[in-house]
Amino acid sequence: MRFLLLLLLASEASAQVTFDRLKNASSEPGSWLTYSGNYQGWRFSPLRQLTRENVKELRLAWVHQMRDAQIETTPLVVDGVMYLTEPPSDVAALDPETGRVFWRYRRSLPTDIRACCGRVNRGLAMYGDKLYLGTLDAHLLALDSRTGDVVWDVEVADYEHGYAITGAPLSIKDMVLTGIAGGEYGIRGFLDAYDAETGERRWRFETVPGPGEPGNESWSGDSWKTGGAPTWVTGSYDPESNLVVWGTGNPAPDWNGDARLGDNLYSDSAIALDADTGALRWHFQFVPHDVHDWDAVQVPVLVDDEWEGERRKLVYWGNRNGFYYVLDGTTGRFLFGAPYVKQTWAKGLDENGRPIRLPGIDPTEKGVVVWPSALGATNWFSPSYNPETGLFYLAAWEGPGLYVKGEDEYRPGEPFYGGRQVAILEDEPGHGVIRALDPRTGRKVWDLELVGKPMAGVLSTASRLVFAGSHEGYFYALDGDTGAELFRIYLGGDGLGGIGGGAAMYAAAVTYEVKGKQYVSMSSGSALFTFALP
Amino acid sequence: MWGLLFAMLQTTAADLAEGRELYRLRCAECHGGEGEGGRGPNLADGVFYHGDTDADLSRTIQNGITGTEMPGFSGSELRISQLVAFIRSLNRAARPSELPGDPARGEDLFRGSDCLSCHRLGREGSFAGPDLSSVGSRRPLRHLRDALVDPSRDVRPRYRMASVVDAAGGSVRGFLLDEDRHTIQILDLDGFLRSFSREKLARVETSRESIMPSYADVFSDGELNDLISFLSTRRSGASR
Repeated sequence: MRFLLLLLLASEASAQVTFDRLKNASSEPGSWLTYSGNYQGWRFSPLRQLTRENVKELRLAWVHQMRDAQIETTPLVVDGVMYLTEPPSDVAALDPETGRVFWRYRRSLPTDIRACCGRVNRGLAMYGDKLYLGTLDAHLLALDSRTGDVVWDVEVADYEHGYAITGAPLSIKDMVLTGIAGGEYGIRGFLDAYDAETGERRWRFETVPGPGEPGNESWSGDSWKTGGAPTWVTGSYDPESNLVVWGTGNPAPDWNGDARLGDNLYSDSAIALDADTGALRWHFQFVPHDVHDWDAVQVPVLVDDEWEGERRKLVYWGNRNGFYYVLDGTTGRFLFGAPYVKQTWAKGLDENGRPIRLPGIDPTEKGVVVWPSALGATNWFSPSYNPETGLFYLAAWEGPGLYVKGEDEYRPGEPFYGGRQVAILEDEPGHGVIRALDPRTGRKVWDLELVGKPMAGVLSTASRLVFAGSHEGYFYALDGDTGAELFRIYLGGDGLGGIGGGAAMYAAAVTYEVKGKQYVSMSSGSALFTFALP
Repeated sequence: MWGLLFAMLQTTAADLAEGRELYRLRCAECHGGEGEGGRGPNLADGVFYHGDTDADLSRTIQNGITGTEMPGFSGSELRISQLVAFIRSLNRAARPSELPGDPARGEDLFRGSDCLSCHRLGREGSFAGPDLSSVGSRRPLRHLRDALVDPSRDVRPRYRMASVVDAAGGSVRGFLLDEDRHTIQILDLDGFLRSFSREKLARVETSRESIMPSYADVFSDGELNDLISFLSTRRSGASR
């Protein structure tokens, strides 16, 4: 039979993500609309079908195989479709009930991309009927969510100079924000906002201030030009104050600070920008003049709560440097900080949150051992804040690393380390933990102790469940109150990945609901595994 | 290496014909008859994932690509160079002097007709038909004409139609994206991606006919020439 075409294709009818939906993500718990689940960076699901009682009954529903391992993606689930990125910079749309693929977008990448730490991608943003993808060759793309066709494709920066995009973009209002990677190549970092419809750039905030701008004096000589401070993990957003809160990475070169004397603003910082203009409202630098590669790119957790008798906007932050912080979300003022793992580099924090460094901790030519290692007490993998249990969950590392100082001359597009590091010492490898903290005191509430060091983020739910993954490829459901193991399955994939000794798992789980059934998806090795109750 | 290069430089029409035949036997099933892609990537748009020098292409053909469905092909240097030469020829876009009509008039026709209600052209258009943003890089003039005059002659799998009817008589029609024994995946005409369990369906009808009507009687021959000339000028990177 011949289909006669009546050209009344209602494009408005297909999936539409509006700013209102994004702002109210928790009112549609079946969806996963943005990288962290909500703008506030909680990675928390209000779903309650999976409980501490029934989670042990989880069964495999389907598996989605990919070309490569080291999957760092957070899938989005919107209006009955799952959209996810696959390494290196590909996208698939699939049926969240069966895993069957609707379409794939494969990005042709140049063979000489600069990816210090794996050919990875952490996910998509969605607005209207478009998906937004950052690529390893530092382009930002809008794809038609119905077909995967490219609607627009803009060059964010020159990949040949060491720029790359690995993070998920963030859509706010009618803009799409993207950070940039390249802290190991001496880039000059920034955070960009683009018009979601056309791809025109709306604003750029340079995370290393230029001459004449405040903060430029914190870089000696011309070192600001190659200062790093990348923005490679998706930040958070407070719609009420219209503030984007985003973490920045290490100053470059990583382990030799001799040519960049000064605090090196705004590296290793939380920055808060006006979403409409990109203007800096406040900043807080966790590690001034970092020489340990302690990027502050963790997802900022934004919580409105009482603090010292006053209702305040708070920022919770488990940092790579081993300290847990509470900041004032309106001013960036330091409110509280304490170590949450063993650390040997600071005597503590002063009243402004500035670390009081111990002597003998800077990298030397022979090498110096400091806790935590250069891969950090934690890293890019997401924490979870749970308003039901009131706890802050994260995957963390207890262990020392070796820091070796070296010389590096800057050459565009080449590694610019100024030394090297060993993150896992044979004699003292340390261990991993899934840890629950009281976010108001930084005190440990419970631990699930692991052997290897996990690189997967955590997810928690309103039914007081925590989902986590281990280095080796175990997927866990834990009791959010006690850390007791309620479900465990080995998904494999250990040794397939690159960074951190070849972990199996690099992404946090997501959970969603379709036709009244709750699913939970976790990646390991080169596949995404999705579970549900029978 | 020099031997290979020499072989490339000496490519003759006979070599191209050999390459075409080899391509038809070994490559077309996945990469499409004109290199337009399908199960495998497009080979006609000049973009190659695994290196784009002749040496890269030869290596990819010989070794295959680990972790993908692309197998290696063991053949003599000459055979492989013929294949590379043919693949290169797929990418030779029409020169301005070869255009049979006026691209500017063609663009007016394109915009004045209903093309954009189905096709994408850069940021404009819709989702139902193939993206024409860089169609000139991928499709020769002959193919563009055929597609307008006789759209059902060569319908890529992605654009085949399906109609599903559930037990209650409700029906959904759209593009058949994929199917298996248990499920069927459709992009419906409202733009929703939908997956159905066959168990719950009373009937599935598929069609190899294009949803696009023939424009043979809509446009004059001159207008068709203008249209395909316009489409031929749509090249990669032109509309970003």
